[in-house]
Amino acid sequence: MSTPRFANGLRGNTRPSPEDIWRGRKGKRARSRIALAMLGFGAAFALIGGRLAYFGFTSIDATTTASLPSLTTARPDILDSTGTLLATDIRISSLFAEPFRIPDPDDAVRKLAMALPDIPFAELERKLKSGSRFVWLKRQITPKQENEIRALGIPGVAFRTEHRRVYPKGHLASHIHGITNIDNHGLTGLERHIDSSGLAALREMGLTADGKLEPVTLSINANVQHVVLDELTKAKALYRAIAAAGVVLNAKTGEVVAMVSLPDFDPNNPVDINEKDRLNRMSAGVYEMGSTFKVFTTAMALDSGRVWLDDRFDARSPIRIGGHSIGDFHGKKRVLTTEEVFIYSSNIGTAKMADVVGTEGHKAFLERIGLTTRMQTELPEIATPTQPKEWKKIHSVTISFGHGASTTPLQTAVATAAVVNGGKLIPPTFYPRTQAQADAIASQVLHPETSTAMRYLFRSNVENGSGRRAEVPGYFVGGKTGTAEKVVGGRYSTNHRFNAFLAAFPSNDPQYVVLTVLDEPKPLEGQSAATSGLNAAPTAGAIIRRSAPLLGMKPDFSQNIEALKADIRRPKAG
Amino acid sequence: MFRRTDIAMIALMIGVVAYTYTVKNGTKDAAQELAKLQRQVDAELNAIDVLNADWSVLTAPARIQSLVEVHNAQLDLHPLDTKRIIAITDIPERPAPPPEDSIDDILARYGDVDASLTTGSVLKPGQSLEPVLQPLDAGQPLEGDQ
Repeated sequence: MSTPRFANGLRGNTRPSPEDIWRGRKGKRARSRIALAMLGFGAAFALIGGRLAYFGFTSIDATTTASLPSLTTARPDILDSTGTLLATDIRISSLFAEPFRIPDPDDAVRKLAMALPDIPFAELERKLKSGSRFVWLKRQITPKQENEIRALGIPGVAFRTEHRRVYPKGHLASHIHGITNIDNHGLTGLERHIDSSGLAALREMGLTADGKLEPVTLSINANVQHVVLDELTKAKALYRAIAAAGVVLNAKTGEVVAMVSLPDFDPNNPVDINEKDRLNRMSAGVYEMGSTFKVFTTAMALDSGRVWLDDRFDARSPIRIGGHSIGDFHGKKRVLTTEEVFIYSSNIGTAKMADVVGTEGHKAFLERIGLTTRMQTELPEIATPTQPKEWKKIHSVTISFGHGASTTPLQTAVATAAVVNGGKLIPPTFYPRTQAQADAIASQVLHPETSTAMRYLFRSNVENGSGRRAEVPGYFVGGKTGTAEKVVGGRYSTNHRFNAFLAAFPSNDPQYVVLTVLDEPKPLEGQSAATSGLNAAPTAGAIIRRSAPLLGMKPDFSQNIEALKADIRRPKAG
Repeated sequence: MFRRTDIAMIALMIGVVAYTYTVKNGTKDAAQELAKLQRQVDAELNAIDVLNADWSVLTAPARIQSLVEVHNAQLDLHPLDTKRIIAITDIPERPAPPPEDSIDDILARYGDVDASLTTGSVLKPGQSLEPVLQPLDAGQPLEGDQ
């Protein structure tokens, strides 16, 4: 009836205990399964833990996520020396599409054509149906358009925030800071210099996508810049000149305080920047400077120790050389002293002064004072001066009064700073520079005594010579006029002039050099001539009158030319 | 059937799950808040940039000059004459006031003040306020009373 096994089983204690199973054959399998599971879980958790530790030790590189092309980058703000904003970045949206994501291109084209009527329909169609991965539809759109397009809700069309360069002062300093392209890369002026001095490298590394860069401060003073721009604009209109340009240069440090070239352009909308007459005449144009070059001839002659102020030069008859006759514009027809040669701007006397030094010495001097080599400064638009391949006597004669060699007006101003500041040639800069920094890079090109004598001659020319209209009471202005005849059709024309006025103030210890240039000015009503003393000189005077107080210069009425003359010592010959 | 330790373990597990959930949710909220604040900061920074540019436009010397030219009838501004720039030491000392101008000197200059001088606020000696402040006659009808 009953089987003992069963009965035994019912009795309860014969059922294998877990310990029995564990030790049994089945137990062995179970053990290995559990071990396997533990191993599996252990490996999984080790993986997760390891991954966590990995993330803990590596910072996520945000820059690698910027995979879209043509990300416009941030640029540093540009400030003037007083902290006024000249250029800044504004964030603005640009519209792009990823055509391969657009499910219904026809619909997208139709909708976008309504929102963006200025893009041709065919262009939209071509771009959206291309199936490419990325295409710009419109860069830098208005917030209103952005909202309209967002409301359309087209898949595969989105916005990207870009930086747009804005020049809040408009054309005030357009030739100095230059412009950028739509990708915010510097094209001209200091914008380009900023790129070439490190910003481009930063951009390559993807470090400029966001975040604020340190602003760049210039040596330009926006108020003085405005004065120069305003006075030149007025002068250009008044004298009906085709162009005008000017610079205010710190004679002691080489800092450019203001620099203007007219006609200029609007950097916010530079449609006409590539027209020929928009070039920066101060640094990118070379001109025969005319009589202002006599400054350097006279300085050279005095510095040689072979000519002094009371030496006499016969200016009674024109110089005949190589079939040419060289006469004086305001001929005095008598024997002139060095001082008279300078203030009456005698071509004959100046040529004879150069003759004392000799052709080789003349060439070497112009090179020493930096007038025949390409100027070194931050601005990319720098022209290379021209000079005769081989200097003959005729070249020395004509170059002595500013014909036959061309140089940039900015270079002329820089060399003039060396003539009046004690003989130190300092390369110009558009960034702030201290006196100590300037002294470290300056090179002594003239004896200090020569410089003292030249200051006296500058002042004498304003008191007694052709620069009378540049006088500003209290600022003891000194200067030299220059009326050059322009070459028209291969000949020097008496009706086309290039007028310049070189000024330095105050004459006892010049702080600033001002150069004004008027290209082809016409005579005023009732005046028969349009020489530099009648237009470029009063323009320079007006600039000094308005800008000297802005530069913190205190007028000093106690100075007089006799005291200036008393300081002059003759340099030792050599 | 459950043992006490099992119950404790389950409770602990539920507790840990609940805690993890709240922490995770809190993190998500904080991240959202952070992103929102970051957007606000970006918008403010952008607005500051725009306002700076605006300020630069508004203070452009050319703009100020044209405004002055338009309104110079009222403003009456002129270019600075260099003769007007002087040092503080060039300004003459303010002349010292004449020494006799103290209040006693002024009084002395006018001689004795007449004590009999009658003013609106000074009573004559012996005069009282009584006659001035007569009470209204109760029987007298006021104007416009009828």
